[in-house]
Amino acid sequence: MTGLWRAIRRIGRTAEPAPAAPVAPRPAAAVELGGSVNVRHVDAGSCNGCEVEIGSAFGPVYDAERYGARLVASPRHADVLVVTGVVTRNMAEPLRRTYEAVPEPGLVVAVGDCARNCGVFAGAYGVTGAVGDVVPVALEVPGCPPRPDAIVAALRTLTGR
Amino acid sequence: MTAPLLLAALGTGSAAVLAALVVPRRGRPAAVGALTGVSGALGAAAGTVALLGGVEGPGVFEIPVGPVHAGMIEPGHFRFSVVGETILKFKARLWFVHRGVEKLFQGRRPGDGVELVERISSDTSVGHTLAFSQAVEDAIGTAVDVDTRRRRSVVLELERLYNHVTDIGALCNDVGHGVLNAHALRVKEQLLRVNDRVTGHRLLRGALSPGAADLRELPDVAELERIAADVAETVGLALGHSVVRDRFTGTAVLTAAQASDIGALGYVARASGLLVDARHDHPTVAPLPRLVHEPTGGDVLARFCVRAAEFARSVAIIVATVAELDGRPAAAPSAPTGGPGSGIVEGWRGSIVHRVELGPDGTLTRVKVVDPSFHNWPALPVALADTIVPDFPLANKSFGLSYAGNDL
Repeated sequence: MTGLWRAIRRIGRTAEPAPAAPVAPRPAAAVELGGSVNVRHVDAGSCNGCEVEIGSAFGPVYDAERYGARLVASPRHADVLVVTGVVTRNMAEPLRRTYEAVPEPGLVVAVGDCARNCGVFAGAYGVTGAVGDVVPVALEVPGCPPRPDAIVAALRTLTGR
Repeated sequence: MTAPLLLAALGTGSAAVLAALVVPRRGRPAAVGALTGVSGALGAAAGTVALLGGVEGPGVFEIPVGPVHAGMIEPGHFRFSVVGETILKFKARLWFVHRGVEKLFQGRRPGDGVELVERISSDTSVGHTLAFSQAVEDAIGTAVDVDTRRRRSVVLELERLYNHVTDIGALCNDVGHGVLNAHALRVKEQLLRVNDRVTGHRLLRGALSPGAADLRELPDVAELERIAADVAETVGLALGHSVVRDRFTGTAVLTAAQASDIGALGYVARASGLLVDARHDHPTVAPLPRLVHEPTGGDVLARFCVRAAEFARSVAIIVATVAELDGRPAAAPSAPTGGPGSGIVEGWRGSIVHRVELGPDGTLTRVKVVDPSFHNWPALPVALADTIVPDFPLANKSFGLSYAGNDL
């Protein structure tokens, strides 16, 4: 146990100073969420690259939680769906049902180029379309994968913090 | 029909027997004792049985999970047949992220396939791109010089580093030690920034292609050695914690015989005592001595320890390779080999195999991709027999399987 305390003391705080708040306008539906947004992640057909960076965004260095965004385990606990990847034929229905399970207003953030416009997987036979073809999208984060600071900036646009 | 009889019949593999096995599901419920017998035998009969129906009987219930999971993982649907907390049988239904990647390669020139191959399973961008590049080089009968192969080896090990440390942290998190996970994620971010400097991309994309390995700079070996010491401290703190060690020990055991029967690959196989490693079996640079590690009991502890040992080993490989690259003249390219176009690479999960066929116009007419997860997924239900449901996330993470790489 003393080893752990020593490590914590030696390393100290790893979160980087918060960058300036994003200037993008806050979606009107996000205002009623106050400063707190519970996020459910849905992989609709991702190559798992965006997951690596969402993991970084909620990790100790970028620390998205300090801006009021928090990952939750169920869509029924969530205000926002963060959807990654193209929507495959096999994930179109699960994505629709997950969206229906989110309480109103149920905002969707499409993270990554695949979620926005199918990216390099456009035209593949297993692909239904982009996220916007299946559920309404409130916010998009470009990048393949987006860098963690871009994901954090999108979440801050929703929390307004 | 008793359980041993069923399984003996299954050994023949005939379709008629399989059909007969599926139908009696709705028949007279068996006693729990007999069901436990089925579960024990399931372990021996490997993945074939896992494809069949659930288990029914007094006290047995089924827990459906997914495809949208509670954690941040890829989609798959799981069915646990349980009595109390104990898993009698686990079925994994995959293919939710089947995009049709292999078909999408057809008609492209090999260089245009790189953007696709980097995104088969992005946590293994380097492994897949390297296997694809080797397959294309094999098909057109060219060989790359030894320094290119060394640069490829460096980025392959960099990919192993960030993935291993992420999962080392996640395993600690799954047994409730969130502080160690935070330390591991801090190191992961340091490594992703190393990747960014070396290749211009945090997931190491853009560096490799058929015939080439273009790095912006070589990694700073002193920094990597500091990171290795940092990770060794985290691993030591984990293994010195009695609760972490207790949860890891004896959980989700995959015996050497089961791993061998299924054809498990990578650290999953090595944690069960098998010696499979494409870096030794199909080397592209001088093969290093095999990594000797303990324990090899095939449980979560063994898989954790193997990955911790591999982290230190990968840093040592990078340090040695960077020293070889430094100032030495490139060796002459070896003679063109020709033959079938295939490439084998030891990615961080295990051996990745790509096979390509090129048409007369030089475009790809067929690309076949086998991610090690395809071989390791059937091992998970076997290891889960007699494991408890609350240990499933831990067991699943210890296997560290790719859904995207399996589903393609």
